[in-house]
Amino acid sequence: MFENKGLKRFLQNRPATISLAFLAFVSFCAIFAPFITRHSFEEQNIAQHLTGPSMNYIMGTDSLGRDLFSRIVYGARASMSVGIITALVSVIFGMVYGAVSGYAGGWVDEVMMRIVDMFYIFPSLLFAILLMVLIGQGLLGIVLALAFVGWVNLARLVRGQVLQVKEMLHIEAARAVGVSNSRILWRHIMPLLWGPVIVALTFQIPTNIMAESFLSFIGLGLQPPNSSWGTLANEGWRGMRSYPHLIVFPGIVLFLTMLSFQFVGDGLRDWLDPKAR
Amino acid sequence: MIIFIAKRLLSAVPTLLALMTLTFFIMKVVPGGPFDEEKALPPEIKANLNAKYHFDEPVWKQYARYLGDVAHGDFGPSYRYLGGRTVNDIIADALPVSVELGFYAIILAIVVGVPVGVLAAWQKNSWLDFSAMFWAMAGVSLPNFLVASILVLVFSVHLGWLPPALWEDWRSAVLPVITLAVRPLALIARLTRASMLEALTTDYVRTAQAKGLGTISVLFKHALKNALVPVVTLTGPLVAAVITGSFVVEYFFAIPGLGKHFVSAVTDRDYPLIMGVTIVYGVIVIGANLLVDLAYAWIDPRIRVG
Repeated sequence: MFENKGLKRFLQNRPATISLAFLAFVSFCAIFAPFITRHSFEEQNIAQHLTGPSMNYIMGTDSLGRDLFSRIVYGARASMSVGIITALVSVIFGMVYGAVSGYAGGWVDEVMMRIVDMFYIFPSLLFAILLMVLIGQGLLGIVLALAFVGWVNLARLVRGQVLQVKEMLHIEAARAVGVSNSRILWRHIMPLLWGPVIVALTFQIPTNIMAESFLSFIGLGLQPPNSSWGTLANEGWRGMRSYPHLIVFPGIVLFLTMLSFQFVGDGLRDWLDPKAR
Repeated sequence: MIIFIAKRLLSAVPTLLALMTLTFFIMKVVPGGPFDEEKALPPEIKANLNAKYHFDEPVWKQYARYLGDVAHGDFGPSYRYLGGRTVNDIIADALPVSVELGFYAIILAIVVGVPVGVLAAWQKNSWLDFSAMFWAMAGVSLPNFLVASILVLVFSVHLGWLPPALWEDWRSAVLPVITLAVRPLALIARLTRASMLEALTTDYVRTAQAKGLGTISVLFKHALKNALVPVVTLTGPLVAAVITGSFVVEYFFAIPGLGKHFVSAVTDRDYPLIMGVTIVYGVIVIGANLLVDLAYAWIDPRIRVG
């Protein structure tokens, strides 16, 4: 009953539903890329290179005569999957870290939070770049590096929630009947936190998509032949003055995706985590 | 107050040390040395180079040497400009450029962001509020390179008013500063609105209104003064946002700042330069957070005691 009311509120939130539909569309395109695009993302048509949008190439072609639309659709695969995978990894890690820190309390908590503080004040992308020097650029490097820097916010959030929840009566009751610490934490405390965690996940995905395209744009992210929206923008940047479509189209797709995640995240927060408003 | 400052300064030392240690060992573990070229160097030349840069010593000795050098303000030679420029030279040239760029961007973000937030809160739920908040949301979602390319296309290519790149006179600074300011501006506007909304419901604001003070006076003198306190905490994240933003902006506009050097140092595996720039960033970020703490202690005396 209560949840249906929240769902209803979410569905009445016009920007959030439109955004959700847009994200579903982007994901659909990414998954079924071969069926949607008319040209392969690597098929070169030199005679038709650097053309603007037309009926055949709806977003035009790049300097090698490749279809920009299919490159963006295939780029969505890399961008979206990097965003989702890294967000999942870092959210899970942050959740466990925050839960252990908050539940343990005492000096364990103190030490664990000191580490978080150090990560927190430092620009996370700078850390990610340093890690990529170590791990190597490319898909694996970027996933590991972004996952490694993204968990800090969630660790703080979950710790704060655990600190509150662990004083509740049903936890005390569980402790009184002799339930083990780890069981209390995972069976009695964590299920109460899934709302804020899902909201955090929704905001972490766009952060990571943006970070990936950011790194790829400056040439430190994905390397060819992998392509994401960031690498496409990087390729388009050089010829920007004469062929603006090469950088503007990937940029706009990225922008709309970011914006949609923000709206969906706000909508989900109203629904699942009403206290945070 | 002096004890408070001293304590804070001391607490920054381990953070900085940890950062230096981390970067040093990351750079040591990385495969591939600076003298690995496509054409193998003759072994005796390589041995000489290794001896000159102390690569033949054990790692702990190199680490101790590096810490000692940094403590004396010497970041060592840059591998890319062997025998020529040191990391110190590069930082000395590039840091002022980046600081200037970042400073203007933050000023622009404050000068525009705070009034926008105040107006949005004052006219809550009006079209003004909605459009301001939509743009604030868009500002957080806009990729830097899209902002930069649209600005260049409109103001350089189409209108021809401003140069599309480089860092020469004030005209060349306009587009990069705007690009870099977009994100901080959006963050400031959102936070200012949120804390203004709270301030506008307080008793002292109602008293000021009841006294018959003008709207502008109530908004900017009474409500804003208190509403700006939470905004001060943004300083840390803002500095971080400007540093990472400068990577793209300096790359895009070919500005010879620290961000551009950092990016090319990573591509070239110029380890001393990477470490030097990282430490400079570390000092800036830690310094900014220190300033926030001090500003808070100054604004709110309760913190000093506690």
